[in-house]
Amino acid sequence: MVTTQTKLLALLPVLSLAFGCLEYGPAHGPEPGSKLLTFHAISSVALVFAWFWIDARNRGYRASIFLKFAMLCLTIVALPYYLFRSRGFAGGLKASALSAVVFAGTMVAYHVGSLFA
Amino acid sequence: MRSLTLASLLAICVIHPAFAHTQAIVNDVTKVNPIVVDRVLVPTTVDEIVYAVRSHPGPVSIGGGRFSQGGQTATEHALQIDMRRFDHVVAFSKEKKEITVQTGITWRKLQEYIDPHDLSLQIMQSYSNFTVGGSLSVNVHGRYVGQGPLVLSVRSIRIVLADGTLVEAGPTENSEIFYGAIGGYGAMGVIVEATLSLADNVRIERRSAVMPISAYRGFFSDNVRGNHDMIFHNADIYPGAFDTVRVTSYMRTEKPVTVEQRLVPADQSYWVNRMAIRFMTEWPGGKALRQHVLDPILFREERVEWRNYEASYDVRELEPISRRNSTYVLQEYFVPVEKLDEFVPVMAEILNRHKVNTINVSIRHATQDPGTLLAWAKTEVFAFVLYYKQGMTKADREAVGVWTRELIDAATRLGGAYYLPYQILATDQQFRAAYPHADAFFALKAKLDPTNKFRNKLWDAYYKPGIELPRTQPVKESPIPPVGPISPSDPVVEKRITLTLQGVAGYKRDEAQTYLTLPEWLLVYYPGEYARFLRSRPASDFPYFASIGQFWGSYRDVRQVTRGKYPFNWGYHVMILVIGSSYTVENGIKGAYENTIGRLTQWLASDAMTQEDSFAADVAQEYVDFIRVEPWYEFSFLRALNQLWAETDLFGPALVRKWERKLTLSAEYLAKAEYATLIKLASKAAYGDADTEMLARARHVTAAALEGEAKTKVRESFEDGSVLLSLPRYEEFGDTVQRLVGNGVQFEEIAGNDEILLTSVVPATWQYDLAAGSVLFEKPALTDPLHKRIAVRAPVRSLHRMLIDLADRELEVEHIYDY
Repeated sequence: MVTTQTKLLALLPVLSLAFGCLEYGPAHGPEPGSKLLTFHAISSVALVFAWFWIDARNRGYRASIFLKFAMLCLTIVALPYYLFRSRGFAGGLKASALSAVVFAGTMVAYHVGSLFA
Repeated sequence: MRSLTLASLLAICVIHPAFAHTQAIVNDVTKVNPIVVDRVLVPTTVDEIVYAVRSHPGPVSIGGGRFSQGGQTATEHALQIDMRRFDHVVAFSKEKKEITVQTGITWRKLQEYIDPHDLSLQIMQSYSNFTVGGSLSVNVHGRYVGQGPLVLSVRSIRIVLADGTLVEAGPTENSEIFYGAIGGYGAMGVIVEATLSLADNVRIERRSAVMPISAYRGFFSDNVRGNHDMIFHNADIYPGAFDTVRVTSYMRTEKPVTVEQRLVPADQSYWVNRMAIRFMTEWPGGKALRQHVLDPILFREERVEWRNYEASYDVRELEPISRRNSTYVLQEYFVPVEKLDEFVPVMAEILNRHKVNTINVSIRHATQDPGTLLAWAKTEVFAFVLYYKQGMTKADREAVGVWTRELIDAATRLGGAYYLPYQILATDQQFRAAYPHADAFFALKAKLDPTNKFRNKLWDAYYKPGIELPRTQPVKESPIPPVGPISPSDPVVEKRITLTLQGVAGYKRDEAQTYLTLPEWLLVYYPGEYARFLRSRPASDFPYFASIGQFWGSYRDVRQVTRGKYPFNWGYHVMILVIGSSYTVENGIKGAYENTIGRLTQWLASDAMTQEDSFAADVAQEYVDFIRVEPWYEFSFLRALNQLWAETDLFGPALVRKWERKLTLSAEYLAKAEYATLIKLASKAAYGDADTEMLARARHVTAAALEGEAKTKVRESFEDGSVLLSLPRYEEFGDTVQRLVGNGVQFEEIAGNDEILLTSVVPATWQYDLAAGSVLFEKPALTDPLHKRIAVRAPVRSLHRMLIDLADRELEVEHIYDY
């Protein structure tokens, strides 16, 4: 059965594919400060945050307000921190490696999207 | 009256938004020719152009649509006149079939104007994005049958010459200027208006056929030449074997149109075209698939359209997705009609031998030029428009130079020529072989422009008059060198001025800040060194830890200079500690990573540079260019992240290094993007928006000294002849001060202070020997052992003398620190 968390993760490359297509289509490449770029970033962070929220709830992990803030504003540091804290060293290492794979997959989808533009 | 006009013009110069642009990098569509110009003027009236040409002391360049590909629109430290907003229709006569336009207008805009009157341009190129002025200056041609160079459709022009005079020229009036300026690449002056011939906008039907190249000349003689019902014609040679052509002609017809639009829609999407070109140039068998599958499908349908539709193509259809790693470039060669069969096999052999990634070679026909001095159609010619893909590295460009020169020789040996709007790769000898009237052209230029005011990269390469105009930056010999000591003024007057200045809001600044801003600026210089370093060396060789040490060493030095002399500036010290800590963490992590994993993947890649390494170098340079004028946290790292993944290939040589760089750079850009957002929010909350004005009291401020200084204004004049100047801040402050000093201005105090810090990067062996000022400390340049950075305390009253002395020694001032 596909969990909500998996669906959220699967949405990341889908979203990137669409934004790759949009940013390299009508816009001819991402422009600094453009609405597309901002919306892409915000929607990606929102998906990651939603994943974190559900994961923490499922694991009964009581995330501090500081961690929640960091997950929104400094995800690249906060996410590995959360993964190690919530899963221990071995689990955290595995989850961090998986998150790197998801990230790479997301960006590959962006690349493919740009080819369609 | 004359002085009133001059004053009005000066006012235009000072207040007009056209002068708002200062030092800028201009580039062309290929993105391989960045040129730093001192200013960009965007005129909307002839008066502005006349004034700019007449008054600007340095070189002047002219830019249109920026579709030339070798720097033909600019040269370093020039005033570039960007004509694109000088784009109105001046006069139009449907009866006479003629139109007069300002030359910044694009062909497309012109088409939109005349199309409702069922008229077309008599001659223009295949794409409509170009400006009329740009097209005139390169004397373009199109695919029109029985036509030739654009000059054939020009009835007259108006041109601003180097002395500012406005001259009308045509085939019979001032014909020498007319035939020198058209096709003259901006050497003679600024063509500001042109009167062009028009033709009827008729319906045309496309006809296409494929044939061996050996049959083409006969086909042309029998079916094209002299065929008055044929409007457009061209023949595309399929690359590879170069032995087959697809001929495409458009015949006048009375059939109803199959393409309803009268012009190509401006907002049309070209993703199919881009994909097709990418496919053709990158995939095995792509070119064969185009020849045998795609083109037969595309040309199968019957097509009837308006002449204006066929003449309104948009160059966006040729645009690559990105020009970061490779770019699409044009070249063009002309050979006499009878030499076609001799030239094609030679061209094919050269292109194949050098493995040129040819996208297309289009053959066009042109009748003889009526007399332009730089005529490329010296007789009736065939034009070979070569469209190819090339890499962006230095080695790629050098390789292009080799085969280009071979092609030029091949064309000129047959009595032909090559086209000048593209990359400037021909030798002087080749240029003269292709353009035998070059001496007459240069003689005319020497007569009309004796000081060589109108310059660009093309003429810098081939025109050597032996005269150099002064740069607008300070030079060895200042035009106004009143550099003696400033005599003290009346103490009573001085007291009154001091009291007045004390009442000026924002005048006085903390003198300690001239020193305390140095560490901040180091965080601009170090990334600059890093960006330059990455161009030729791997990231793992950069001295990350030494840069951290030098940053804190410099902070210690400025603390020593300010300690005890000025009150402790808590806000500034906290800020330095924050940015210094960030820099330390960033470079500590990078240093550790690059010296371990980075070195390992570099070794695995056998020290080869991957696309991602080149990308990182480009972004580092973009970042440095950006932070020179904007706060670092405004830089879009997110954009860099997206571009990294979209514009570099997923697979390629040195795969381990490639993916290691992708992930490492992604982590860096992502972390910086998030950190920058946080700092931006915090910075706005803590400091608000930054000031943009610096006030200084100065003498000898003449109208001439302020010419072109759009951001410098006289706020107040005092009874002793000195004035209160408003100057721009940050990077522009130093540049402006140097220019003003070069024009004779002397500073008495800046922001209420009598000393200021400046730095200069000088040879490591140089010992400070200026009469005024003193070296506070010096540090070796991080990546260049032959140079060092010196920090000099300068008395404001001696600043002019010091700047001139440094210029005399050919030493550049890196920055003047504006408190």
